[in-house]
Amino acid sequence: MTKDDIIQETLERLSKFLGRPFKEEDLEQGYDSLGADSMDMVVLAFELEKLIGTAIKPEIFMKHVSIRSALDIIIEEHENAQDD
Amino acid sequence: MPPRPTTGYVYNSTEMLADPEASFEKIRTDGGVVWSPSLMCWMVVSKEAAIAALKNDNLKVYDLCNAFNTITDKSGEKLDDLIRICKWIPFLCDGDRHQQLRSLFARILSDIRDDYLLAIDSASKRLLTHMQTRGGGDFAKEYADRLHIEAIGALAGFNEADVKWIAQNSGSHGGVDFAASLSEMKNANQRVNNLFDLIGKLASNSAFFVKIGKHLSSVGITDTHSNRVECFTALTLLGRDTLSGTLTLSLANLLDQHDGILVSSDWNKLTGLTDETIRLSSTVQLVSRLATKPFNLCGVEIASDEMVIIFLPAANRDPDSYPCPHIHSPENGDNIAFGASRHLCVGMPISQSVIKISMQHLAAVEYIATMPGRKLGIGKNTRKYDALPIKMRK
Repeated sequence: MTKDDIIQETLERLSKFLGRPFKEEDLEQGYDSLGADSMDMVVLAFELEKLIGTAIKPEIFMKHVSIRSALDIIIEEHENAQDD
Repeated sequence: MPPRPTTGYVYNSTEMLADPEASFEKIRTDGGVVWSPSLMCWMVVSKEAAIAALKNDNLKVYDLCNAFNTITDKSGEKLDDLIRICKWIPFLCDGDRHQQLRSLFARILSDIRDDYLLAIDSASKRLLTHMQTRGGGDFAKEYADRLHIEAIGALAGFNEADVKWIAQNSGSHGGVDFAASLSEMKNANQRVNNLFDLIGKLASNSAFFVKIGKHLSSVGITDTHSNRVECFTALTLLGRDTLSGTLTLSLANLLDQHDGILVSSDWNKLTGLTDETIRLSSTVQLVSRLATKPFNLCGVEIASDEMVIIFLPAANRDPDSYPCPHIHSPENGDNIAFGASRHLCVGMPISQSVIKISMQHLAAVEYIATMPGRKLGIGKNTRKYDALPIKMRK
């Protein structure tokens, strides 16, 4: 599972939740600025969890100022887990 | 509008579970009612504001059923059994359904009280004796998680194996949890499904279930097998984690205060044991409310549709309200571990009696010592130990 796969899945999920296309640069914003809510983040965390096979707490999206910074942590932890 | 008092504390569930008071201290430096930019909601940590919020009619219970439906719509993952059981939990409902459930459980608990407390007394002695004969064990798994279920199972006429299974599988984590992940919700949904399945097979036309049926009818709920099963399942869930949390957190706290060893004479020194034990353990971590209109909460303007989270353990250790917030002391006053106002826990009197019985039995154990291997549960709404190994001597 690559970094690009994770980003692509995130963009697809956001598009589905909010009914409009998203670009990678949109991920530099927080979820609330994009019009998503905490339920969307719960579902996004679950979809990413299924993709990468490790548990993701939805609160990670609340702790970070942008979706991108939260994804960076998720990707980093996933890559570290793969190296172990 | 004046600027919102805001906290710099960033919510971290792991950190808050491990040491809630450390998190609350950080929040308190910013105020008793503060806006959390990370959670996009109000956090209430002062006792004065917590009581005011619990009494305020402009705050309604957060609609968890609606949240589960929304998640199902967005994800396609069904949470039907969680939705079914939530409709039987009084603190998750408002309005007419809430009144109906309060009346139902008040009637049931009043009706079964004497038999239930006898069953608690018997189960408590039996479970502790079993641990003592082996020189100790896991207080969480072998006593605290089982106590309520043993008693209610005895009244319902269930056999030992079924009671043990229900005790092991009736945790509430993921079900009514704040900020739960979808996988946690799915696990909780499956646990509830399994409980409905087993209890559905066990529920009979015994005197106990006929009694439940009569109480259902008396509050205007149709007496059907399905309603009896769901009501009984709610009854098992409602007592299990909160009682286990109070007992495990209290014992762990007392052991820590006494350098890891408790002897019988230590219990005599703990004046006002039951109320202070409940205050200090404060197992229910938070209640969520949604503002239905703008109002003022202890000097802070809350806008309509804003969420307010009331941290009960923070209120119960508020240094502005308690002279000795972190220890057992007769100088400390009332607590709100059971909530307040219209959602005050209907099980409060019976729970206080259960805790008193349990503490009396523990006080009769000559020697209890802490052992390594403690593990906190993952539930965020009800804090408890899932593992609390102890050594015991008669």
